[in-house]
Amino acid sequence: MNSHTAKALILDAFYQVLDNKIFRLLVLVAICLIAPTFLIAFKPNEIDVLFGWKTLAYTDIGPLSSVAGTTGQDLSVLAIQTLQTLFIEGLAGTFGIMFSLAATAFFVPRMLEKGEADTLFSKPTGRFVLLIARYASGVLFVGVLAFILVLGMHLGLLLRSGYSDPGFLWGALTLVYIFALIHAFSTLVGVLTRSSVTALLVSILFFAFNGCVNQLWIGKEHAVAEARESSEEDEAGAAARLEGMEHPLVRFLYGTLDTLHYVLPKTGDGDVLTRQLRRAIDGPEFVLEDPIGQLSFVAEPVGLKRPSTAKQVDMGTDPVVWTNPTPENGTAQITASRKSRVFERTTGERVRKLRLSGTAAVNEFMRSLEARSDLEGKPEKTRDTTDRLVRDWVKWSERRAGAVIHRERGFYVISDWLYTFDLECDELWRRDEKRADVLREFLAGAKPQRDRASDLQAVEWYEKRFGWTSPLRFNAFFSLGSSVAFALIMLLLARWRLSRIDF
Amino acid sequence: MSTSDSILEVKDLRKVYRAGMFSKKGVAAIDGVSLSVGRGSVFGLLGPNGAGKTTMIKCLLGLVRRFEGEARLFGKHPDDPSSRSKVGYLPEAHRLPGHLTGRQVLELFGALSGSAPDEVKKRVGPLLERVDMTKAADRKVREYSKGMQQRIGLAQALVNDPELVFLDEPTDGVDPIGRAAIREMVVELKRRGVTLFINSHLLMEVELICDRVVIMNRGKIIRQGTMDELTPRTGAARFELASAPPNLQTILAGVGSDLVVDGKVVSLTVDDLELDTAIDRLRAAGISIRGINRRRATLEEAFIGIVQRGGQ
Repeated sequence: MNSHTAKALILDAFYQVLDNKIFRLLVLVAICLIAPTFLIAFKPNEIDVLFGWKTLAYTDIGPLSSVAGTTGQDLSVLAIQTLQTLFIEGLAGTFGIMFSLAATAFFVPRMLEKGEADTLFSKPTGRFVLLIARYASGVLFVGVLAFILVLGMHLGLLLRSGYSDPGFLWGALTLVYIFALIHAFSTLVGVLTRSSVTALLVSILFFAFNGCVNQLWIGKEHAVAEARESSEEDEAGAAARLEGMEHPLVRFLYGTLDTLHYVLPKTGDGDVLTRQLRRAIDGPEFVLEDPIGQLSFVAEPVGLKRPSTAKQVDMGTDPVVWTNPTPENGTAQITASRKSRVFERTTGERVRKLRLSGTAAVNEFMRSLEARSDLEGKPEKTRDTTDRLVRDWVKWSERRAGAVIHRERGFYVISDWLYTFDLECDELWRRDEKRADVLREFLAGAKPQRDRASDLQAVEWYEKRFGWTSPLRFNAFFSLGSSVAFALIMLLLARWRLSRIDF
Repeated sequence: MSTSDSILEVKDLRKVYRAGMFSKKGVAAIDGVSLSVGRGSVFGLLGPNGAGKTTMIKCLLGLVRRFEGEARLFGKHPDDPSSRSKVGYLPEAHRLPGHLTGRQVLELFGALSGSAPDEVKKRVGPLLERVDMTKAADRKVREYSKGMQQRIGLAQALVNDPELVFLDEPTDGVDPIGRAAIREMVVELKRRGVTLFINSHLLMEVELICDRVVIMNRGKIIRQGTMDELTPRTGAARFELASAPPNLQTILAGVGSDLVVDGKVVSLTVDDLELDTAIDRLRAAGISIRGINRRRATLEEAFIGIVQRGGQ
């Protein structure tokens, strides 16, 4: 094939795509998805609709109101990222790809229909070249749509909300990658059946089936990991769970799932890679991290400062202390520390490893407070749960050198660790209403870097395992390599079949 | 014709279509065909439906594969795409990409034939002119009538300036004026030394255009030759006379048979000797002869006869 032929085929692919009615419809849909990013500005404290026509507080918006004030995250960023994920991974990644499969499934079968095939394949261009040109038309179809959508949204968010996330642009490549994998299968079906309807239906079914296999496999891996983890804590219970997994039927199902997972393209990993890449480009989201306990913080406590600016600390050996840098406004101090909550108990000859629960730690602390005589009033105990994380709180006041000191202690239990956060402030500092909940607001931004299967949803757990240096089953190179190999095998099978067709 | 002169050659070509993927039974669409074609002829490829004409063309163009025997185009095996670089093909009931305009079709197929874009652009204008499609050139092919599609189809077969052209039912769906234009194009191509293979059921057209005819039936070539060889004289002679005397029946009595007198035109069936006798008697009677026409069998008559006799 010479360069003229290649250029002509690319041009033909463009004409074919532009002529497609579903393509034009999808461009309209993409414009409808882009429009809100130009019409709505996500500002730090409010949402501006239609250039000042209406302003909304984040707390007025249902899903965001529950998050407001609990995560410590910038709500405008949260809203934008939610929108991006919904549009790109949700709408474009599922419905968009399904529509695109429907719109492009006929490209190959139509080329192989009597009449068109005779004219096309009698030219001095190889059959496989013509097949690849049709395959490329399909990929181009999605590529143009994806780049319109992603670039349009990026531009809208940049101009109106001042938000730039270069990692988001990778979303377009991910869409093209996922489609290219499924479209290779669609091409093979098109060559085998030479029927547009069959190619369309089988391709969409395959896309759905492939997604299900991906999710089921992740669920299975998560369940196995959970059982393994629990075997370290509760041997008897774990043995029963693992025994259940050894049932011949379960083993057969797991084996089938493994085989399907390794053979089929791993389309779901495309989104995982994009999210990881976006995080890598955006840089760390936290200002402080305790890597041993795997706890990080998205913000420092308001109005307080710590002497060091180090991002990584060891709260187990060196508790972190924040103090008020302007003592004329009163004194205040927060101290964060971590200790192990694992202890051993001997029953007869058996030594068991146990963990101190958060409730037990709080109760023990409450008893120690009740034994003291310098308290002003009774201590208060509360509990809240956000993001599957339990926080216990104790508030009390004590008299020291004739003055009342307000105290607050938060208890966090993460994995084998017990974190305590102590607030100590005088009346003067406390007088400012904005400081009433300084510790709670600070801890709302505490993010446990949880790693255990039991602490995470299956998809979150998989994302943490997935990477370039992970073991084979979670390895990004393997995922990409095996998926691309699948697509190549599909195209080579299509080539083999095409070479044997008598038109 | 020596093998080195031929641009198209098939030897013992056999193509069997199997009944199924694993079936050993099948139908032989071509059964041992041998043919060698040199440059500059216009071939008529005739045969009843299912005779194997289109299959033979498709074997040569690489559209049908896995055949037995040998097939060569310009000395190359049909599986080699470059064997088709000097070939044009207008398939029967062809369909052109509906998303392209007529002009884009020609540009695409010109490029697929390996021609440079500048060369193709130079050829497209005159070609569109020749098939009378200049006005409709920038309309989408799917908006064309059948005749227009046929004309653009013909133009795409010629866009690479081929040396060998296969035309399968080229005048199908084309009006009489268009047919005449296509005939003119064929004649012009022949004049330029292009070899043409015309597969048509319109035998009158083949008779007008072709100088050699190949007749196929049941996968075999049953007869081939020049038009003269295939259309024998019928024996019927037609005299155009200067005058019509009333005793013509008497003058020609006993000469040949089937005598019919129609004014100044006399028809009768004679052999060569009887023809001389008829001329002598008319001249002896002082009748001036303006013209003598010895009628040949039409190609259609010859074709039906050959097929019915199995090639004899």
